[in-house]
Amino acid sequence: MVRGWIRSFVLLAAALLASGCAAQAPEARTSRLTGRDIIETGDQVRASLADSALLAGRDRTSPPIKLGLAEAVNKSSDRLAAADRWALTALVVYDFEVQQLLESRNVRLYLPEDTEVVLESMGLGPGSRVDPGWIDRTAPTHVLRAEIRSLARQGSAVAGAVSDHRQDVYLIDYRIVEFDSSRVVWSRTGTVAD
Amino acid sequence: MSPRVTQLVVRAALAPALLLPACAYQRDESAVALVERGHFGAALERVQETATVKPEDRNYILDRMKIVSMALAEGIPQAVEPVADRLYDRLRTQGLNDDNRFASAVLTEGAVRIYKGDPFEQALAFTEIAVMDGVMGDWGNMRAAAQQSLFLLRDFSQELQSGNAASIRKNGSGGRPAASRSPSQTQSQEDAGEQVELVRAAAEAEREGKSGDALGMDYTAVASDFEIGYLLRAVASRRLGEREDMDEALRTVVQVAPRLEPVAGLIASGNYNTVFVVEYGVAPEKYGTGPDNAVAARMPVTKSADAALVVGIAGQSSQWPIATDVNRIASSTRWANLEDVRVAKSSIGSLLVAGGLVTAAVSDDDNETQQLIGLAAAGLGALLKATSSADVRHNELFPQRSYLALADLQSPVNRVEFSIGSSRLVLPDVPGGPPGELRLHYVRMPSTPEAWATSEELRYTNELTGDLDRECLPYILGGRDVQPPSLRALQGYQRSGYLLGFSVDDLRELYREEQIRIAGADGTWDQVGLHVLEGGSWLYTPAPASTGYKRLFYRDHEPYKPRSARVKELRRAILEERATRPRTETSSSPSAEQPHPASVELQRQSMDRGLVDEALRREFR
Repeated sequence: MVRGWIRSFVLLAAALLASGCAAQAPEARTSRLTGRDIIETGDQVRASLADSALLAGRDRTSPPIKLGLAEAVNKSSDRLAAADRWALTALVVYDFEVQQLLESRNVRLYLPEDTEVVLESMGLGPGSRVDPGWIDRTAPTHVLRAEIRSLARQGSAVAGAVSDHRQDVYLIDYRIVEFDSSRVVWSRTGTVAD
Repeated sequence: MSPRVTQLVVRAALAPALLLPACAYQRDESAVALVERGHFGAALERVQETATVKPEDRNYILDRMKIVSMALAEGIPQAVEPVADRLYDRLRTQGLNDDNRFASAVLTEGAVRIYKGDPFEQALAFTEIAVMDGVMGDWGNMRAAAQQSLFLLRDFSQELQSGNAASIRKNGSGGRPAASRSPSQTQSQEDAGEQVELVRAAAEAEREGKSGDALGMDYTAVASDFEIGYLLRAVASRRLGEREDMDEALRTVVQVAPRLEPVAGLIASGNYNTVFVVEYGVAPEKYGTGPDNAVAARMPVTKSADAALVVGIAGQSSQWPIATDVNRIASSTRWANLEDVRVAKSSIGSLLVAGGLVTAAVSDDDNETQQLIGLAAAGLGALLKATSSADVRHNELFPQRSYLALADLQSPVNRVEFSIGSSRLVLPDVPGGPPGELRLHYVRMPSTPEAWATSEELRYTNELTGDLDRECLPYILGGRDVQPPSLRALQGYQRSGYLLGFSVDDLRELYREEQIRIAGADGTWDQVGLHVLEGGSWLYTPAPASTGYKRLFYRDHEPYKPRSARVKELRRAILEERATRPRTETSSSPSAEQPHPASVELQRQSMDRGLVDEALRREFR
């Protein structure tokens, strides 16, 4: 009987140790921007652009706008991959409905070959997402810019407990700037809160 | 109970504790020695060979810290950009050790927890990621990573002053055997005394029924004194046009370290086009001391010193004070790892083992139940004692100190000399930025004098230098050129009369047959290993302002030993043909009289596909 107890005890201890040394199942959490946040921000901004005063008075006979894309500038308190910075602007125009709307307002997408190569390398090439006929290689008249800022709050979920909870609110300012005048002709702030 | 059965029971009771060393941490002293000699490529390979793979592994973050650190020091940040992204992501993830399973509840003291590093190690990791971003010209991410290193600290000084710290220091705190103590260990004893005092304060707080954040001890939240974090944040903020953020960072760093006021002023002025982040030495060792080795303490490996960094450029030298002394912050109670304190507090004073064994020894032989209870308690006690040892995992490859220096370099290249005490490093090929641009270079100085560190004679032409219009032959064929196979390289060989009739594909095939991998080819820098010049199987070109570049190309290496029959035969034929050439034409070693090679910007070969990539794939599938 004693040996049986001993064997059981050793087995229990070994099992405990094995589970202790092996991988755990943590409930990890992060307040960083996610891919879904970026895609949803693109949706918000597209809707705003469609309803904008910039497009309201325009039709196919209006003076052409050749809209370039710029990599978003990260001024938040978190790192953001180059691909995600590009995605923040590229996804605004990677939508067939937006393309049709912009085409009907005589707005074309300016995408130089080197930018296209960079986007392709990051899995963000226009590919099937953009009608090739809508892309223009000649000099742009406007550029779509974005700038990301964030506000962070840190504390504990329970009073007096270890403070390892964090909340970040990301503000993404979009602007379309006219090259010749440097005038901001459209702007929109997208918000992402975790 | 018979003696044999008693013996079996006691062994069984203690068995769990004997199993625990599997979780213990072993410093990689060989890698430390390599780092001290500036052999970061070899250290990187060592670290990569044993690195854990799964993000949920206990040492995943520790391994990534070492990999990023070594690749950055070697001058190949491209090789670890994705690794740094994963490291950053894990460091920014909370709740990695929030596990309610029974095993975790019993055993998550010490080394079975997922390592996230002591607070100062986290700060250092964020800093190295910031530097990596800066080297790659990504100022937004550099600022963000530097900002992450500047978390608030807890100042317990009032709580500690109310205790009896002096007696702890006077009486010592255990630690390593006296015979093995060195002067630096004596310094560490005092630091360990402060840690013990923190543990004692935590235990007293518990006895008084206090609990919560900071273990119930009174503290003041204070701004970080992590000087290098502020300096990097200020540099990046200025570059981004965020003047208020820069001013705030500089104001704070001058408050916490007045000696850095001149550096802060220069950063604000903007009269520079080059930033050097220079690091030296290796971080202190973490060890367990006190009862059951439960108290975590640090012992300097590279001693602290006030030696300034002297930077010599074009006959003029400037001095730069230490930005951050890692020995100082590692031993500061402001930077204490509260998890270490909690573990030590909960284990010190535990007499469970003694109590259990006493119960078994004095009990009635016939009362098996009582014996078993006592022995089970002893076993559990041994288990707890073993797991209550301090978690001494640490990154032994981090630097001991950091400097930040500024310069206005001329285009295209500059000779820059760095000195820290008796350690010297001459970098003859530091590129000067074009007007209006800013470059950040990272230099990890060797701690020991190395001939190559001060050599001014380029021994191997490479991707940055090209063939320098000299006779040029690949290293694998007996020459001194280590350019990756390309049209430019092939044209150089053919101008020298070699590999006539070869195409670029033929040249690439030679490397394939030798199983030599080209870093950056096909856009991949993953798992870059030891350079072919040092007996490895990789061809890469470190940044020209790096220690790796200097070590690889400014010293002689053993001749290459071909592996494939084709390269062996080709090499033999070429060497026979070379022997018949006039002597003046056969020297393929670039000389000191050669002009500096034109600066060639390393292309960013690998692109991080980012967070959104996977989401997009789903979206557009």
